[in-house]
Amino acid sequence: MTRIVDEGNREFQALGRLATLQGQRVLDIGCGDGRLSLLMAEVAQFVVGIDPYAEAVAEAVRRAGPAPAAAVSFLLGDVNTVSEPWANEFDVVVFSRSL
Amino acid sequence: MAREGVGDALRKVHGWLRFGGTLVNVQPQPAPKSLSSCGPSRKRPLGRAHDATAFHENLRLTLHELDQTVASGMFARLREEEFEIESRFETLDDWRDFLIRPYAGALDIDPVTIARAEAALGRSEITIVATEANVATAFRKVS
Repeated sequence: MTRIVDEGNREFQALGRLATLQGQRVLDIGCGDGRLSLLMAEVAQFVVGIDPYAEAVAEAVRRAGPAPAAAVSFLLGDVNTVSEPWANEFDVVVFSRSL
Repeated sequence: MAREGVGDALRKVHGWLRFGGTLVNVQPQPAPKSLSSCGPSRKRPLGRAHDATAFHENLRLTLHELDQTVASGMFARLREEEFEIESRFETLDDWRDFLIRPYAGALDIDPVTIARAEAALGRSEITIVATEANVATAFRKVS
């Protein structure tokens, strides 16, 4: 599995300059191993990460820890297959190299 | 994402966002990626990787679909930010997965660079690092 490393959190900082994340409801599409979702969950109300690769989602769940904060959850799938009844559910949606 | 799914994905996400919410699209740029081998003490340049024609065509179509959402009044374009991301490969399998990108075609890398990278990965303490330019563009839901 490709491991993205962003030691200076440059991507997270760029997102923070483009969108208010504090206290927001965030969807991270193409969340991979959850690197960005977990950073956003530190300030957001909650973050949902979606990724079509089971290995990546398993790694995201592992990184979230045995007792993940209620602020983050991960789903296996992609935008066009997810059947969640979301309507006006999110304040911020991020396509992470997934569009 | 498969090209035929991009328009549908944008329409679906439009319904998931509240009015006034922000869509951010993070997109790799069509610039060559720098490849390096990275060991405990130093980083050594290996060469460059160029995206396939399919990547450039996919990028063009994705940007077109985003433009369409702006033209149709779904979203308004806000600002963009540039940054670099590093991807690390610790095994030959990871490296070979990187060479063949889903939906974007195989990367174009000269055989000497590939041989250098694979030889480097044969040493347990070495990883391969690809540095890639990205742009994040923000849009506001306006209808």
